[in-house]
Amino acid sequence: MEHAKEIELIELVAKRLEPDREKTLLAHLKDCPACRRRIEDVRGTWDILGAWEVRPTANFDAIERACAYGRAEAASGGLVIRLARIGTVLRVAATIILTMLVGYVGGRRSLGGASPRAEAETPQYVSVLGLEAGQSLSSLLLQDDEVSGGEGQS
Amino acid sequence: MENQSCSDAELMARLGRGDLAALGALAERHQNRVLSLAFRLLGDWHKAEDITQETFLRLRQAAHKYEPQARFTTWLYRIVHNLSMDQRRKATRDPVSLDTMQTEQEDPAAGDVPERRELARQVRDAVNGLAERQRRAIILHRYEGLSHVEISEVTGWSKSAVESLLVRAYENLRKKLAEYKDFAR
Repeated sequence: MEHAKEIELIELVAKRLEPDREKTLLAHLKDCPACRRRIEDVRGTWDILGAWEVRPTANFDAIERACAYGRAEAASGGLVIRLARIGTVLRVAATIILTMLVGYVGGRRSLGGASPRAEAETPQYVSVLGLEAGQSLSSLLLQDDEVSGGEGQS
Repeated sequence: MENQSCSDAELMARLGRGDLAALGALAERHQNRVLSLAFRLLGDWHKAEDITQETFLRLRQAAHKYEPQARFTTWLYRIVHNLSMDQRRKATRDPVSLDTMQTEQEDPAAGDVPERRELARQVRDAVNGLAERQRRAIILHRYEGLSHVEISEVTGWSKSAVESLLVRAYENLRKKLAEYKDFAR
């Protein structure tokens, strides 16, 4: 058998190796002095690390603090959370308003610029025939032109 | 008594229906582990308490959409881990907070024997002296008893990255703490 991987030795010391793998590894360790030395190093480090114990402070009560906050939040109908999120809501609202404003101004400019061009491009023959823009016949004539032109192409 | 027999998932379901007693039961069950993890990650009891409170508030807010797919504690640790990392990032930007953190690291848990306390201090300093990702991996593995997969779920790192970090972290700690090898026995 190959030598044990370092991570497997760590897991063996931590007692978190799968039973089958643990059995195989223990059998290998019996016959392999090199791996036995390595696992002793790992075990030594593991044991030393155990010296750093922490004991949570006895007077802290997360239950009371969280429940008190929860009760306050419930009593205010979610006001606490809403206040915390107000910045986000304002940013989203500002973005929407700005987008609408840009769209509105852009739209107005686009429409305002189209009318004069349309007038300038009125064909000369329309006025020669006395069919100025605004008269119903001129628009009918133009529509006919467009339709017949379209058919001719197809 | 009724709460004690409930699983974490059942308590979360009750909390999702607005039962605040379930939140109390969850806090009672997990508070110390959450607090210990936050303290080890942050090195400050006051900040650890704030993180613990915030964690249980997050539980309450997320309870209605909680689905018990992973282990509850893995999900819980993920919240603690992320909140603690946010707190550390804030502390890095704020030098005053960092100063406070360094002076408040003393913890009374090392025991009454001076040698034992000194060893605990050395170990704590050695762990905190690791590269950041190695430090977090060691805390979750050695002190919180998480598997590689669970550490991967908590931190968002791949399983192979977790294993690599753990191997390097234990190796570095072995070198750093070599002189205390016989002390711990």
